[in-house]
Amino acid sequence: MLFQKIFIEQQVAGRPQTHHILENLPGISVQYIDKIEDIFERAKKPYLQKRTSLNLFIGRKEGQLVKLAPDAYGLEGDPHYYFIHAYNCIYECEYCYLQGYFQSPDIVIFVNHDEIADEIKKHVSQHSNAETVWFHAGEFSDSLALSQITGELPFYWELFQQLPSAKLELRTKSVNVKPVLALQPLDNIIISYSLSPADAVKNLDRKTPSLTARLSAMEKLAAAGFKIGLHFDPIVYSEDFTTQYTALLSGVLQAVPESQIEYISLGVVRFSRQSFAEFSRNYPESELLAAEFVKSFDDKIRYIRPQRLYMLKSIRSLCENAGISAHKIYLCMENE
Amino acid sequence: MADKSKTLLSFAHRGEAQTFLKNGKYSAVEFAFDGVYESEQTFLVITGEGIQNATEKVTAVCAAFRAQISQVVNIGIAASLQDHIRLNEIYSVRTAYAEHYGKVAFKTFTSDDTTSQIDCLTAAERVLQKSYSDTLSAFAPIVDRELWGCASACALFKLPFRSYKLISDIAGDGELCPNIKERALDFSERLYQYYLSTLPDIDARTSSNDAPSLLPDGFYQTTSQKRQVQSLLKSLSLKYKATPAEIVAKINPGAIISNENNPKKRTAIAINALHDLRNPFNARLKAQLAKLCQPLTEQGGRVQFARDYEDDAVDISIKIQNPRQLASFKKSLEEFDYPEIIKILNGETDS
Repeated sequence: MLFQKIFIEQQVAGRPQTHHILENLPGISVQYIDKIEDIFERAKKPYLQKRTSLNLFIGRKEGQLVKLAPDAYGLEGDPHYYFIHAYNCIYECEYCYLQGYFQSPDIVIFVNHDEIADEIKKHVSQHSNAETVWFHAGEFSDSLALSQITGELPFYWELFQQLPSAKLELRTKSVNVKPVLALQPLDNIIISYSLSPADAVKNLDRKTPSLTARLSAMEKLAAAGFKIGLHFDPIVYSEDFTTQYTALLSGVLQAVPESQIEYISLGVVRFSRQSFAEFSRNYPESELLAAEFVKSFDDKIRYIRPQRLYMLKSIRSLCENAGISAHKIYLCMENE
Repeated sequence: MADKSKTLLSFAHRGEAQTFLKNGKYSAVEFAFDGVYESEQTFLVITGEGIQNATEKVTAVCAAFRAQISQVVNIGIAASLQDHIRLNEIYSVRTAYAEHYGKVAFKTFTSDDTTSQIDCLTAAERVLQKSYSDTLSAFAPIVDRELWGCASACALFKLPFRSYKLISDIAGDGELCPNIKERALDFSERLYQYYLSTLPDIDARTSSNDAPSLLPDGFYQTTSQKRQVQSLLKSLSLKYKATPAEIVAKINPGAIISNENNPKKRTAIAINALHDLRNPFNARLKAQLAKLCQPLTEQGGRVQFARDYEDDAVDISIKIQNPRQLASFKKSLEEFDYPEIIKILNGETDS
């Protein structure tokens, strides 16, 4: 069973989405609580306990529902925001920053999408119609992995249909594309996939779909007319990384025509200090620990600058040589 | 100094420890408080009930015998908070949580048993009310009164710990299980048998000593160099999925010994070679930069780059001793290809 126990805030117990989630997770013990924070992160729960004792919390997101994204987050020149409708992820990528971000690996799903939508509309109204305002989902969770259980996608489709000057990015590693395929493609909704070469997926992206499965999911989405975004992130150095990324690009372009690729973001592996400490503790045998990292310009742990710029420039050239338009490629979280 | 090879067993009550004391050839240790015993392989402490007792007494014993204690095992009874926990079963604990008078402590401690999946919450009070046990059940499936205190002492001394809990009753049942005292001997015997069954595993964990020197004879290593070599070999073993010996063979220690007479310098060369093996990109980068800086370094100049090459700055210095040297350094400076260096620092390289 995916979850050991479900905790539900009393204030959302009657919401239709809460019922929808419970209907899709039968047979799991449920406990009603006042506030998620009474239990979630109250005590430090070791990250790897997600393998055996994962709980689900359902509640109402309070505080800032939509946040301005950091610089170099998305395509340059446009304003970028992210919104939070979940915490944590069912996958277990060794480099994942969530392991140092939350004090518990338990999954939290927020069901007050109406309030999130109001915030999104408010932000859109603050920009002129000529501007494209981006909203990214999946900053703290995978956007599609649990979407058949959570059922919020039709709501966001309807919302963004009314907001043509805004764009929505759903970031994922999941092959759970049925809930998306049940909807009509929209020009302003992009399904974006985080991809790495096959070996890196196998060695580092634990419990995620294989590269082949992800490419096949992307192919289905592209065939149905959906726009696809790509994140080559995190890029990990190996002596033959250009060969590996050449093969990856060839696989991508077989699955998705260039015209349907909205953008490719390139990001070299990086950690916050807390995430790196957790990662080293959780995966002491990880091949990533063999690498030489330094504390870089923003206090994050990375490869030395010449190395990461070399990697980014090499892969950008590979993308361009493969026929991807230069304006679609951007570097994520890196000063050039 | 005594060998750091003894296990400290901690119990809340004498009743839980009785079979251990009977079978373990213990003698009482004269100490600041009663309830400390020693045998050939173990120390044993009876802490009394409650988180404060456990913290104080385990800390005191660890402090007094820190040179001898290699790990701590907390043993005793606990109560169940969740339905799937079976009465009379013994569970090895994964993570220790604590509750301090209505609030769950943020700090948790995880045991050395990587196979366990059961967490234990150490309660501030005996859990007699159903409402109390319902609150605690959100955090862990079993509850005791000592483990977290014991585990916090272990964290202080950086000692691994384990905990074995026999489930004697259901928490929140309204009263203490009336026959717990009568059943103490049975509990103690069962815990003792369980503990014996875990011994081979425990011994395996305590028998590892400091790794020996990983470079062959002929290399002199300071303590910090030895640590550096160990750390590099650990990384390289992950990278190449090879043993440390196989990695050392890759840097050809025989050739280093033949080419360098000074055993200290040999180690420095070996460390550099291991670094290059770990990060070939960095090795190539350093070589490219050294070549570009050669016109200056040949004249006695010193060229330093920003820390980890995080920007394009280059710090050039030289001690000028005569006009001729100044003239040739000026010439070298004119030849110095800084734009090419900037290109390399910004990733435009053939690496």
